[in-house]
Amino acid sequence: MQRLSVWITRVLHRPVSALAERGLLLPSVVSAGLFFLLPLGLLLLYSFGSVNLLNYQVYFGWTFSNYTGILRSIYLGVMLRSLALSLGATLACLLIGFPVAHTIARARGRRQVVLLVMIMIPFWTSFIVRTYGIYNVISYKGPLDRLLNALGLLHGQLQSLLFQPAGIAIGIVYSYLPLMVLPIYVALERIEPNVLAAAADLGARPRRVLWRVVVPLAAPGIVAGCMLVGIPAAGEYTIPAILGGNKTLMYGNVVSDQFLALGNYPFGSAIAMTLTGLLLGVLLWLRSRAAKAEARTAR
Amino acid sequence: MGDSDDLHTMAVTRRQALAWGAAGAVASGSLSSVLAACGSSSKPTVSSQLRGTLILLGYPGWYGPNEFTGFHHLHPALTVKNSASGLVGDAQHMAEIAGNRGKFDLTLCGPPLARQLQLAGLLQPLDRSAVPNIKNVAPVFQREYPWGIPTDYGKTGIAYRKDLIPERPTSWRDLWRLAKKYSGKTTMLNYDVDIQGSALRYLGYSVNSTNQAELNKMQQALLELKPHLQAVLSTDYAKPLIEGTAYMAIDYDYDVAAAQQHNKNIVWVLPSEGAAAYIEGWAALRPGRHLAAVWELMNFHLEARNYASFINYTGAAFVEPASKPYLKPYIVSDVSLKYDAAALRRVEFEKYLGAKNVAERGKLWEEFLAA
Repeated sequence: MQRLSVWITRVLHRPVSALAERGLLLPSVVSAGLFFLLPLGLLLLYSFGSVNLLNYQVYFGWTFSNYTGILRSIYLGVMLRSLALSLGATLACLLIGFPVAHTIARARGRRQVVLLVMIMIPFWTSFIVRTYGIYNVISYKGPLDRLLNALGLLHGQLQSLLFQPAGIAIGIVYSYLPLMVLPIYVALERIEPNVLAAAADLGARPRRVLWRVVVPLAAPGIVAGCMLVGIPAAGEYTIPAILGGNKTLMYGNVVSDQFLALGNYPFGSAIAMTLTGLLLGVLLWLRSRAAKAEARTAR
Repeated sequence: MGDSDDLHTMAVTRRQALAWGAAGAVASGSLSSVLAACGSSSKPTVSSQLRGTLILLGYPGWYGPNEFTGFHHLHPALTVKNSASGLVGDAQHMAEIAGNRGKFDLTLCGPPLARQLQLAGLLQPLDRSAVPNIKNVAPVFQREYPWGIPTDYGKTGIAYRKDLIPERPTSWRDLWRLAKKYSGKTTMLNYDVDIQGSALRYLGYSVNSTNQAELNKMQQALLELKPHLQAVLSTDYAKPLIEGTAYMAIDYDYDVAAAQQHNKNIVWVLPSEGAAAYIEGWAALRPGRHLAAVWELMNFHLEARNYASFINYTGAAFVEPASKPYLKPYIVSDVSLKYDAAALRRVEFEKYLGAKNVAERGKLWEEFLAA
């Protein structure tokens, strides 16, 4: 067994030629090209096309009318709502996730493993199943409903959080929380205990250590967590549809309606591309911030 | 039948889910009865000429439980497969057929889509002489669905909990008024045509109106209602009503009939102003490579006992009065499902309004949801 381990280590650390290195990259490049770039390119092409509303066949052309159509107030309103909900969910995940990640990072041994597994367990089930799980939790006479009523927070009258904006918020925060906790945990784990001890030795109180040492050093994890939560939450489709009762339309729902209900692929593509472009801009800005933060840490 | 069986077990559509609720666990028709039933109407001479695989584009499970097996026994060289791809809405349905010409032999569709398929040159006209059992279908449905064989229909009306509200709504006007009184206690369907049709009847207009002024008033009426809605539901339409979180709902007749099996306090109302109604049927598609087999399958489906098996399984409102002796008693007598000529006079069937008007209606619906 030990020999095998030594052999694997040698193989993994054997210098490889530049050509072999490129060869190893090939599967990833092909996969990204086929399953990400090609569909994205098709979506971009569709977004400049037009549709025959009799048989819903798409004709490719170079019209910008699909993009100008997005400027109508209905779509701008939905986009703003999606971004606001995404921002709110990201902040809530950060506020809840940071202390959780901090607790896990400070835990040691078996306790830490147990806490990490508890965070990851929900990922072992499908997203739809988790959303329906929340559906039952917040539905009429569900556990949360009973608890809030018992605490007198629903004014003594049985009500349901289902089909309310609060229900959507709970669903998004619950679903995306692990994506915030895990990168922050990794960043906190990497902080040398000596650095914290030095800050304390120099007279910094715990709160000052947190704000001046821990948070800056965890910044790459915080940025990564915000990206992992904020970007998919902005295009969220399932949670508003299931938990919101279709009353709170988000950008993802509009895209879905254009493709599935109205058959207007070009307009749906233009809406999707606009959100993709917007989020790409945010992503690049956050990446540059993260790079600067990492550079500061290295110094 | 592999594909059919896979779809049956894997895919869950709103119709299938509701059908199971409506029909109970298992339909009453057995394979033997199906085979016995079809013996009288099928011609052995035709059977020997029929071979190949028929592909029906339709909801999974939206046919009799033993129907395709029975048909296969009658015509051993012929297999029927059910495909359900692209059935999210009429637009997707149309795109699926137009983009895969020749892939499907027949499709389940309502009059709006059937007419659209006809205009796009994708529909094969019905050969009535090859489907003699069409005589079993009530004339009103034959008239409203000339593109193929009507299979079932549904009305969009009001359901309410008589134990939760003292009022007894009988009209759309009552629903609009009471929805405001009991704010947050009304649900509606997430189907533009049915809800817009209901709002148009509330205002005294045609379900199929294309008049812009009338459509604007309809939109206004819906927007007035929206703040008082609990949800716009895409599935489990009657669940809040059964649980008691909703007092009223705009719902389909067959769904209300199924909900009444769970809660006897749910009441169905066909509003006094009239209601929107849909028909579903099978229509043959071009190029019609297996046309003789398609007509044979349609004829088989309309045989009274086979048809009853389909209705008993799905719990839909029936279009074939001749099948009554074989239907479950609750379907024959249920106020929302039974064949009632007087009630049919109060409904208006949804029609194809033209590409531009369909797009306009879609836009209005999106604006309603986004508001």
